[in-house]
Amino acid sequence: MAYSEKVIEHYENPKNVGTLDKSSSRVGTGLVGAPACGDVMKLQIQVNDQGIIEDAKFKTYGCGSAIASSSLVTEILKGKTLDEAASIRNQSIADELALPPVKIHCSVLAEDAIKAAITDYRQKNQQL
Amino acid sequence: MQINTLLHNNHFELFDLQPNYTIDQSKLHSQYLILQKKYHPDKYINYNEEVRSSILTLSSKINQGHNTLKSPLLRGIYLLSLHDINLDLSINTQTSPDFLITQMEFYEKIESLKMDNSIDKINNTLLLKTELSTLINNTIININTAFIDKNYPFIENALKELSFYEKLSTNF
Repeated sequence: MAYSEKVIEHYENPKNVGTLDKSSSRVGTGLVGAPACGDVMKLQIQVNDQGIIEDAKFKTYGCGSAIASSSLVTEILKGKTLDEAASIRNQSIADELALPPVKIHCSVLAEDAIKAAITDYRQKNQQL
Repeated sequence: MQINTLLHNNHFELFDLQPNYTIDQSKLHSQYLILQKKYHPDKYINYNEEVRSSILTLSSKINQGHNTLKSPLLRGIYLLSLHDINLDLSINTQTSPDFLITQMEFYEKIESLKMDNSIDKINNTLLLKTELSTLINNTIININTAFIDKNYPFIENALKELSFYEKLSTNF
């Protein structure tokens, strides 16, 4: 199967790979997995006092499309509010990367990861 | 006609096996060789169109059945389907966070092993591989027990985990 140029670009030169301080109250961590392909994706967001995502990092073990989806997502997330981030849909990720139908689940995984990270951040800050 | 009977058999019946999770692998293999030899499409080139078409279907069914029953993951999913439970891993993405954390840690260990140039590399790789195969073997044993106990939710979850482990094992 041929990957699109955008997938290859993100795969070969992934943006924002790394880890943020999981214990920080400013950081929300989302960890999701796709049993069908065994991919595991960790997405972290760092939110400032204005409620804007100022940094995002990911670590993904999976296929090129999963890595590209998470790399793209970290780029998109920066500068967004939590509500804006929560409204990101997998379809726009899939369209942007020109994912073939068999790889759509990679973009679903990325959307799930965003939601999980936001939920984690909100839960942490509710308790404070 | 025997071909038609075989075409309607489920995978277990096709290979003359009991529909249990634990199967006799050597029997599966020997039955596979017997069936594939007996119903090889090349042997039926002089038969009419209908027979040749049936043989082609049967031959592919034999291969598919063999691949399914050989694999602990696919066999589990197939056996569940015989109990009317359809486990579709592609839409079933709920996985426990604790399990995912251990998966992530496993990948990180494999990754750091790849960078490791010390004398312990071979030994450490072997240890990690052993750790993973122990996890896989235990999962398979648990799935078998759960099939005996008809504990289907447990099986669904364990098969999901097995799918992650199988992917992990391709990363060494």
